[in-house]
Amino acid sequence: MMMVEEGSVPGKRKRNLGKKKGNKPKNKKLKMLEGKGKKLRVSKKMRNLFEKRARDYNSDDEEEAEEEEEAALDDIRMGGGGDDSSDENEGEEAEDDEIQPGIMRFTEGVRAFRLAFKNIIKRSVADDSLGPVLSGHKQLVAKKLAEEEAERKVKGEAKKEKHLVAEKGHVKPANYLDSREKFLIGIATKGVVKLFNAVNKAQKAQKGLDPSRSKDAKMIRKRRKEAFFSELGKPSLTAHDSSSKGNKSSDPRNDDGPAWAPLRDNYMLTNPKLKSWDKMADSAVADDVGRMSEDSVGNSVFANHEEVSRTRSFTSNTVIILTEEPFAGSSSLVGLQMVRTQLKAPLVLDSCWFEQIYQIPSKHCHVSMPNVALVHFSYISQRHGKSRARTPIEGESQER
Amino acid sequence: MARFRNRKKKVFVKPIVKKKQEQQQQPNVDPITGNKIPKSFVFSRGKLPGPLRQLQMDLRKLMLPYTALKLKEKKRNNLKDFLNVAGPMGVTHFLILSKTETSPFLRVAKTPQGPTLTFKIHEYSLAVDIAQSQLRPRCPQDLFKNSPLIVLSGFATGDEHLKLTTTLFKNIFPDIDINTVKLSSCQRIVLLNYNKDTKLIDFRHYSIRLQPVGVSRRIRKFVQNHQVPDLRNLQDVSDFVTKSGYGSESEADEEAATVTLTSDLSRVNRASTKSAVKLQEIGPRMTLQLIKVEGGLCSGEVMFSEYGNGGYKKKPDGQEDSEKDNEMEGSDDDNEEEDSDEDIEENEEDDEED
Repeated sequence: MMMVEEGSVPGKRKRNLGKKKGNKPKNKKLKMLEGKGKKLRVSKKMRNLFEKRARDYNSDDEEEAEEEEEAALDDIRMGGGGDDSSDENEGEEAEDDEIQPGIMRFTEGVRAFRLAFKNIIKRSVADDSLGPVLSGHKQLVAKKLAEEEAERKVKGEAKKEKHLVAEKGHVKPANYLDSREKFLIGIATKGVVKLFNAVNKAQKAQKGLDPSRSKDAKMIRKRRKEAFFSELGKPSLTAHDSSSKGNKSSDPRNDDGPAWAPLRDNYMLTNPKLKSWDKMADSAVADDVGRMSEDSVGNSVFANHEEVSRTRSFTSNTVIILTEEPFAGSSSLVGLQMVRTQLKAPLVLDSCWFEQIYQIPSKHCHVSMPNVALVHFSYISQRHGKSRARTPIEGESQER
Repeated sequence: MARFRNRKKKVFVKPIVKKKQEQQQQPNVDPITGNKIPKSFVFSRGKLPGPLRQLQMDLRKLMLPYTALKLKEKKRNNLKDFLNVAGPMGVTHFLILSKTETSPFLRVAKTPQGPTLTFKIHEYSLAVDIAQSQLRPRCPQDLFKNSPLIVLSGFATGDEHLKLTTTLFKNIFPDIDINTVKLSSCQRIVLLNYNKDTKLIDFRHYSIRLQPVGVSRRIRKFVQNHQVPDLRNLQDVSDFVTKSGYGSESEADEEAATVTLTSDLSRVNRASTKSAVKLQEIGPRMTLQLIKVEGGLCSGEVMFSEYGNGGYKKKPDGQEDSEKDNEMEGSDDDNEEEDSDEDIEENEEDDEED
């Protein structure tokens, strides 16, 4: 009978708990309602209704919980009775001492569980590589597992191989600089230093001069001309031509036009500038050129193309003037104009480098060629005009 | 939700970015020298694995600014498509990456008519790998704003195919005019070093940095960084200047690597001071082997083949180019004709070596 009372005590407790639990959601609901109420404006009537509903809902729960609890209690009582009375008594005593009826049931539950667990542990399991398998077809399971393993292995290998192929040639560099890298850096540094020095040397000459001012521009041009002449005077012109310029970066002017057609920079390429030659107007340059020509004509040598191409060495005061038939006469105005417009920069015309174009005033003009060009030709191709036949000048020179 | 919206009164408006016009406005012709500016496409044929795709990206960065950094290619794009686009856009060079079972390949071609050089990539390292291997990888903001310089070394053996390589690589970047070029625009350098014995070409990419010589590291950093220096351990302010700390031991042996500037380059590199040229690798790094030279764009006569006994006398065997029998005869004639007037002596690589 004690048990019943005790049982009833926890039951009551539980019920209380249950009530508390029941209250909680109610409160929540209320809160939610309040939250909503701000927006929805629930009337008091509605609110009451909601509350009532909530209470009903919770009370239902309570009843159910009560029933469940009672059932559980019965079970425990039955189990406890069946197991051992002394245990029960002990539990009772302990329970009496601490007046915590819930704990008794807990210990009881542990005991049952312990027994069951012990039972499982004690059972001897057959020594098998697979371990305990519930299925009857142990062999089948083992086979499947082995198959899976093999499959995975094959897949892994294939993946590895694929990765290896993808990574072929890919090398992670070392953290330090080995001798080879140092050597390469040394080469590159030398190149950079050389270029920088050349640039400094070249720009020192025109330092303080403003190329936009005509006077300074003239000065600059003069200096460049001097440099050019001094280069002409060098004994082995063709061999050291571009090295003396010190420009190691790509500069087609310094490349002697290679003989092999595909080697040429302009291999089968038409210069886009040539298409719009007539659109570019340039009168100022021509003026300057005209003035400059006065002094240089005196010691100039006229030579036609064939002669020039045979000449290989120059003295310092020789100015080679190339006469091209396309330039001469009024019919060649086209070619002349084209050259003049490109005067801004020295132009590459089939491996001849026109340093300056001089317009000779008519009084100096002995031959019927009003315009001549000073040519810097470190190399003159014999296959002249073969590769580029589309430009107007070459078109004419081919006929010739 | 409504409350949420109310709280956020400020609505983030994506700033309207003006579409960059620079890409369209890139000139075809250099404004100073008047030469045509070479432009390039870097793309791949066939599907590339991850690291090679990365290499392609690195190469594109290397070719900046006159390249298509975000060139999109599709599987169905063939060479003709690229060629058709290249004409109007003024693209003069193609760099084509491909991959076979044996190794990756790089083809460098001139458009629209060739020639094409095929390189086998023996080894390569990505820019990322290079950066990872370095203690302090360096990447200033305007590093890729100008095209790199190119240094070719060891190519002066006189072989035709090497000459072709030289010319092609020289012309892959815009010319520089030493009278007008600004040294501050020279930020990078590409080095191609031909090894005569192994016949391999080392491809390296460095960044150029100038440092004043004879200035202690502390003062250099002070001038560079705009930061208040740490004077805790010093007794007097003058110690900061006089105590030189540890000098760079590498400075002594690099006497050769100094230049005297004529104009101010930066705040630390003033005119008429000596500056040391320092190079730091930025990658990618490649070891190439020239395998084949074709006359056309990825086609045409085979002018040189590594495996085909020089290519001129015999036609290549085994290679993927078993065709072009008739053209080979024609090319032989051409070669003889060209040999006669071939007298190119100069080679800049000579003076770079010594």
